[in-house]
Amino acid sequence: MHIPDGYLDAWVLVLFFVLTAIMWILAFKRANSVMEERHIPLFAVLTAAVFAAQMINWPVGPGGTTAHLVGGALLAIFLGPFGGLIAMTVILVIQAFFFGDGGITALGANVWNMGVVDCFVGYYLFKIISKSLGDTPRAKTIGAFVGGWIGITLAAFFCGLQIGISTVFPYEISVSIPVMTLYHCLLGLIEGLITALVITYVLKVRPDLLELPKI
Amino acid sequence: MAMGLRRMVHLSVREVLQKFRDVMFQDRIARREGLLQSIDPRAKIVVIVALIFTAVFLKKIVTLVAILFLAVLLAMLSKISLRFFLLRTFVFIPLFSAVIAIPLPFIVGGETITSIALGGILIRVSREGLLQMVQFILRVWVCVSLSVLLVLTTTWPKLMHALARMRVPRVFVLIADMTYRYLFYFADMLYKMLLARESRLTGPIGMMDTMKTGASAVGALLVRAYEHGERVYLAMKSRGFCGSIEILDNLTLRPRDITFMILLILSIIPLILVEVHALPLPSHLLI
Repeated sequence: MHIPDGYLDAWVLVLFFVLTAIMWILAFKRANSVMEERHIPLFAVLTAAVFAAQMINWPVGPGGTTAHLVGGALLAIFLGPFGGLIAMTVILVIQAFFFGDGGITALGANVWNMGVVDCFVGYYLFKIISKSLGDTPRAKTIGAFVGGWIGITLAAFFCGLQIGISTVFPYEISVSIPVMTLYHCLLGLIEGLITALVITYVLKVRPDLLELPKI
Repeated sequence: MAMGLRRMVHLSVREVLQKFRDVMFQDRIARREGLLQSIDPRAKIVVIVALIFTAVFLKKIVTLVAILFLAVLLAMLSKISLRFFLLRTFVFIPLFSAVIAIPLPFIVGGETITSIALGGILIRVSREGLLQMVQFILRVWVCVSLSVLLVLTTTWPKLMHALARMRVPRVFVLIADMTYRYLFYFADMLYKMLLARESRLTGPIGMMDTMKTGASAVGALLVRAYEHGERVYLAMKSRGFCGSIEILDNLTLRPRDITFMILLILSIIPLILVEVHALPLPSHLLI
């Protein structure tokens, strides 16, 4: 899902950088009005914890296949959609810079997919589903599962779109979108499952953590 | 899946250690006294981004190879060993891209250069497809090499200083810096939790239980992070934190940074001239 440098045309890089920058501006406006001084370290350590959780290799199927958590929906459920966007931006900057996951020029596109799309879709699906099912722990678990699953699937759709419309990438959108979306629609089930299991655990142990101010 | 949990723990521990080693190694290179290490990070960001944008436009093998040589030259002037640089830039992303591009010579139409008979079916290899494949792999390799140059020669504090100077909001710089600082603290905590759980296993557990165990560990990590965050805040408060940070840096754009920037941006011009056929080159070079 992390797009490296050299996969996207210049106009695609610029377009998604601008779109993401608009969301960044809105996010920081909101952060300035909602966030208190004491939330800043809290925000950073929660981001670091999810980053650490991304290093787990989940065994997902036969033949020793493993998958990683992206965690956009998970972060958004704790911190709110704009909070999730800021946290995912931090994670993607560190990943691009230290671990070679995702390109430096492709940062705008990657943050759009995994920060904007994953966090917003994940958060609002979680919200809508858990409310309409009666706001019980069970409803929240179902909401978290759907949020994690669909968030990743739509993020992958955008990833397919970005590489498909780029002429430097050798395949058209008629190939890249179905391949990316279908693959992550399956893999996203694992993301949804982990998100739901983590939320279930936190609801059992410290339900107040889900009531933090949302950004 | 009897070995599910054990496998998860072992692979995850290996990944944490690998990442930790990568960061340590990278930091050591970034502290060497080479060319790029001595350049202001802002000038480096401008140059690297300009070069990657150029590489995205280039279609000719000769210009792509030229820019790859430029990257290798910069790496050598920055005291990065050639072997390490080529391995670090080629293994993984360009290799992965090669796997994506393998079908191209067989599915793209055009002039047939050779055919392979495979079990009675004749498979054509097209010149255009082969060329597209080579261009794609080469371009990705060039772009990855350029961005690795920036990454390998800039320490984390310098990058944070550069971001603060480039008008990135202070709160973002503060959060990013703290996240980096606590990342391995929590990674360490997480793998100890997984290891502890694994050592208490009395028999094989299924895949669903493995997932549940892992997710509980992540949940516990988030709860611990929250509690830790409160203590961190109080510790910061007692040392005078009042919601914002002062960034103490000594970043100044010196004449040599400006010269570096101008020289490298000028080096783009001949590449573009070759690309648009404005420079006479032997025609066999212009594929």
